[in-house]
Amino acid sequence: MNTDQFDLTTLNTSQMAPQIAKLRSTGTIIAVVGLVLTGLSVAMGASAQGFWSRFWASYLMSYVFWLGITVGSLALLLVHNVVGGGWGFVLRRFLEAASRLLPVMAVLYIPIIIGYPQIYAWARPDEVAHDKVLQGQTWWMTPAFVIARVVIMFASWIAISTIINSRYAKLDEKDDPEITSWLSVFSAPCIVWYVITVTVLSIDWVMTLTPHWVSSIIGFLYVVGQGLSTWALMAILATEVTKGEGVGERIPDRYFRDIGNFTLAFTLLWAYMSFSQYVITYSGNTAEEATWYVERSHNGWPIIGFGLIAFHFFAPFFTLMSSTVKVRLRNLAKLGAFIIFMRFVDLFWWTAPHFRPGLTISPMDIGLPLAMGGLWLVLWTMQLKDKTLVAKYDPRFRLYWPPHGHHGHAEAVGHGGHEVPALAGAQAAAAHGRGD
Amino acid sequence: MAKKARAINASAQAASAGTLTAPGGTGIVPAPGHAAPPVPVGDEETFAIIEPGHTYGSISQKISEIILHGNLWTGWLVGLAMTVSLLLLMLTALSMVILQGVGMWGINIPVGWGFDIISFVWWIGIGHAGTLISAILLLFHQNWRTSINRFAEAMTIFAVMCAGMYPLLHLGRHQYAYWMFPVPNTMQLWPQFRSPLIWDVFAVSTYFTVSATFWYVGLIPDLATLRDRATNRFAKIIYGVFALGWRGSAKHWHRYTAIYLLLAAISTPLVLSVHSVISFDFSVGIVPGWHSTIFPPYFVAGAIFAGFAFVLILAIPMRALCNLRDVITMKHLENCGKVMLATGMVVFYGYLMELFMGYFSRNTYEQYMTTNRMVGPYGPSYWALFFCNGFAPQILWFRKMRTNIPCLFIVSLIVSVGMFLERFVIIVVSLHRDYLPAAWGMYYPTFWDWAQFIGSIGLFSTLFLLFVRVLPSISMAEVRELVHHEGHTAGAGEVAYEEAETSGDGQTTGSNLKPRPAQA
Repeated sequence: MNTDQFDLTTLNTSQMAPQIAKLRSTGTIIAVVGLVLTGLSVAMGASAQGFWSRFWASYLMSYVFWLGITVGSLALLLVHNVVGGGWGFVLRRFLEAASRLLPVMAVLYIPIIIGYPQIYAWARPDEVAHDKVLQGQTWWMTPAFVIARVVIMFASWIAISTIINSRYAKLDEKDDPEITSWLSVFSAPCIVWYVITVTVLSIDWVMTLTPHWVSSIIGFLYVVGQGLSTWALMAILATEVTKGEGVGERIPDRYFRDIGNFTLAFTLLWAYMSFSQYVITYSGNTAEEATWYVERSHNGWPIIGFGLIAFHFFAPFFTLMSSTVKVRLRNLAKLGAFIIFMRFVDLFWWTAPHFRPGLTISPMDIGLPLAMGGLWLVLWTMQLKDKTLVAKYDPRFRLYWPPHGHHGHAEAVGHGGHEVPALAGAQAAAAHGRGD
Repeated sequence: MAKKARAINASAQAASAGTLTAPGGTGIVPAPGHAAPPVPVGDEETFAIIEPGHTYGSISQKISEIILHGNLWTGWLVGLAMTVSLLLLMLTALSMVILQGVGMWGINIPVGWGFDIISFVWWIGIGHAGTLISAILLLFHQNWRTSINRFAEAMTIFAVMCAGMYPLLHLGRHQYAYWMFPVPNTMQLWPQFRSPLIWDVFAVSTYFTVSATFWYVGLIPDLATLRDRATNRFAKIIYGVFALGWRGSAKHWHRYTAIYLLLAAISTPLVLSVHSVISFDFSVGIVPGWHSTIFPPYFVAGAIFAGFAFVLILAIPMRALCNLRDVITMKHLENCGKVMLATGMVVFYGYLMELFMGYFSRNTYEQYMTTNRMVGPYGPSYWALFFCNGFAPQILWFRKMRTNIPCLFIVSLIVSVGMFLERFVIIVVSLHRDYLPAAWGMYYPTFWDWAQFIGSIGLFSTLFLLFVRVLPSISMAEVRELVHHEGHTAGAGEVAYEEAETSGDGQTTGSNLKPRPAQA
């Protein structure tokens, strides 16, 4: 690795203005294409029966994805504050920028409130009046209470994001280990709160799309899904923004291979939890639970289900087995694009079937995610302020840069491990350890 | 950061006091009774992964000395006498059940699974921490695992042994145990592969095989060290045979590292799969209280939670009795505390999700089950469970408490009780009142249930005490590697490393060792 002329600590986001401008124009194009596709759908089908419930389900799908990235970025920052790791330093600015988009995501939730009666049985009073189960759930599922929870969730996320972003800004100005340790103490309970809020979100927004159905693993599934989407998108964004700056090429692989490892781990966790839910529901085969899978096992839907097994699990899993993919940010970005596509397929599988008798895809199913994504991307690029790419004053960062010789500091904190130099050490140790 | 500053302070104190780092390759000989270093307590404990100042020689010396010092140690003998008497209790209970049948236990219809399956799940869960430490933390390059992986792996193997006994006994007709395996036979009997109970057979036997292999492979370089250091001819032969001709050549190390990483990769999915399969034993059934999709991840988290509690229960007395405070340092204890806090939160989340879904689903049976857990005849067990696994571990949020050894030990004991209660609540409280009120019943463990369970703790402890006496409870080869690594990062360690390079430890053969005086 040639690191002689390359210094990560002097790299500034203002140097990357051309790449950022390019991303911004790409975002604009994506948003326009998305809006056109959505407009096309509305123009063609708005009068069809049930169109608006399909529309809002599609909107919800793309919203859950883009909110997942935004909150997921906040969660990764919180996790990094607690556990550290090389990945956090290279992704720091990108995650920070994403976490600052939470107020925008809060505004984008408002249309869903208008769509409540179209998609949620609990928001239709006449239906609740005739359904004992829904009546029994009114202690939790009433529009007012759901909105109150949404307000609390966003208020807390925005507060957490504002607090940690302001501390990061302070940390960029001066070398103060106190800030890092404060962030670590502050972030740990915030992670707990994050898991609680995502659980509530997945129950309120997604589980109740299918009335009467319950699955207690849903919170974990959405935490994992958000994580996976965030890793994938961040690999793409980091690659695009730093293109030509040598970040991916000139930093030793082992410093940032965690990004690949985490993508692999989250792919596995997603598969593990989805499979668990399926096996338990299938074996139990009770009317109230199996409905969810029954809906998805007819009229073309199984193609999506099998597609998820093959391409949301096996394809990325086997690709990530190869370390040339796992340790190179640029290769991860390519895989990331594929994972993001499959994340949408997964969310489509979660949100759409209840509103369509058979598998159909309309332009808005592609248009709404693109429109929202384009907007997200444009706003995100605006958040990339003129700052150094890495948090060079974070005391933990010094363990990662500059990369040392064969026994770099990073190994001592756990990132070199059992590579060849370690083996040499073991041999030397053994040679001395033998008594006679 | 405060953590670092403390570590550096500790090493500076040690260096200035000159007590912990004796010069020369012999390193420290912490034999109690002669020039023993003052026992570091409280703030004097180190937060380094290993007390700075150790050399390759001092590590080999220190750890092999526990085994090779010659005479038996009174404290150990007293401990063994106690655990063997518990083991005898278990053998008595076991004989009773084999001779008289499972009717000796309190199980009945509807509660067909009682203490036997509770203990099975409890023991299997405990084993998981060993695998997590030895395999997953290795792959994640968490090098603090090095000092605790060996005895944690031993804990895994012994715990799986204890666990494996219960389903076999529960069969009732023990002579037909082999029917669980797909053995071709003229009776055309074939296991029901759609049953998770059969998945269990394969999950647990695979787990035992892989864990035992991993453990043994990891032991080989240390067995060679013991062979080379032993003065007793019998010990030389025994360790020599099991060392498989290890010479420590570059080729040996190359192959050893390859197989070790490979075994770690094979063990990793087992951490998830074994306890997930065990959770399927319950969750694929439709008994209210068993049928919940969160079971697999929450069982796995519970297993790691229980396992780390047990690691602490074993490590805290062991580091005191064998004087290993400089190898199993405060950092290890604190990290175990952190893992317990994190996995404990997942477990608590599981309880709360079950509680929420119980009422949210509006399913009559689920609702009744949830109410029955809280205010039914076994109500106190549910609240005790909340206290033990939900509330008590919250104290570990505070660093002061995480680094307070008595506090860690007490929390670990509470969690171990809590994990037993968890399985009691899931198994017994769910079974005793399911769908038909006419089929409800009560379950009371008998003397033989208790004898079997408490006795299995005797089996575990006996095996563990024997292990501590005849095998290195800390991996010498890996800790030497750690010394090498730390030598490049810490000032004090650098010196140690240089010493080792120049002087080696050629002079520290077994003959130099002074036998450890007997102590209570």
